[in-house]
Amino acid sequence: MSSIIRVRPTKIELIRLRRRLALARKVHRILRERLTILVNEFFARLREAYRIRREMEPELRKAYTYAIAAYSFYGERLVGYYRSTLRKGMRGIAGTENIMGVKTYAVEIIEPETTETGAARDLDEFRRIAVNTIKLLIKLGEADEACINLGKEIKRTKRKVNALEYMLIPQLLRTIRYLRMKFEEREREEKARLKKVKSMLEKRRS
Amino acid sequence: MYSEDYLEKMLAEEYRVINRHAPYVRKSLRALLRERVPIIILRDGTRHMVRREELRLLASMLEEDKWDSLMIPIILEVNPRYGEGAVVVRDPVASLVIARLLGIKEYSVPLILFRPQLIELREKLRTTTTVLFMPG
Repeated sequence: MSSIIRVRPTKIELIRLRRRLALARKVHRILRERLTILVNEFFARLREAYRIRREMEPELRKAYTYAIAAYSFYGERLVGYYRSTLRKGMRGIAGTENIMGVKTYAVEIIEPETTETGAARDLDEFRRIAVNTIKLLIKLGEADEACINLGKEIKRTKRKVNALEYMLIPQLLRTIRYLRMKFEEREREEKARLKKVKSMLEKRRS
Repeated sequence: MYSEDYLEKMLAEEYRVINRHAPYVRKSLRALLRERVPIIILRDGTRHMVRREELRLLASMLEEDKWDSLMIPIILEVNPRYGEGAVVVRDPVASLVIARLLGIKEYSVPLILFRPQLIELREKLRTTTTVLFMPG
């Protein structure tokens, strides 16, 4: 890209360039603010994902231990029978969440309707841990997805901010300066020409 | 080589769509609490899901007679007039609830929040607040 924009050196063009510069500065300021807020959101979601992952790992380990113990102690048939005592399983309503124009997945979790049998306390405990683990997994998925989408948007916005800051605005400033210099030069030429004409007329008169 | 008109159009378009995540219609806290799945339609046509925990938090911070006056999402306005990094809350009820949530004892309407407060607020009320940019 050349250092200045190729335009005709006219006053109209100068006005147009000034208008474009004002607009570019406005967009640059807004995009920079947006970028800062997006980065803050990204770090908030990253912290959330980290916290959930740390919470989830022991829960997951516990859930696997309970599952192995339940299947080996009660057998598949009894565990299956226990599962059928659930009135309504855990459900989730999937939707979208819009963070500053960045769309991410969101899930509204509906709690399962369970009846504590009381007969097998370890199975009840297994169910409680499993439900908690699934909830954490869903939340982790949401946070991870948000991080990915926010990251993409940050990259895109950063490119725009940099293009405006390092390419477009300096180029417009250089072109405006060039046009101003051109006009000044033209004015000086005009003055010199007038002086010359004046002196020629004076010579002719004398 | 790009055309200069195209560049100007692109800048103008960027400026126009910066607030595409603004809500099409705002709903009161009471109305959202009544909904089975609280949803707000945005200007770009997307459905924004509001978290029930955040609605419950707002309800716990506010007297019940003000639930109808609190419109969700709460608009946090980025206005260049107030300096870089500052956001403004113009709604008096929203200002009251945010001040209570952030532990601000003395405040005036419009409430002006700075970056650390904005980060804290957005961590607590991610889906019930939205940041909009005002032309400066």
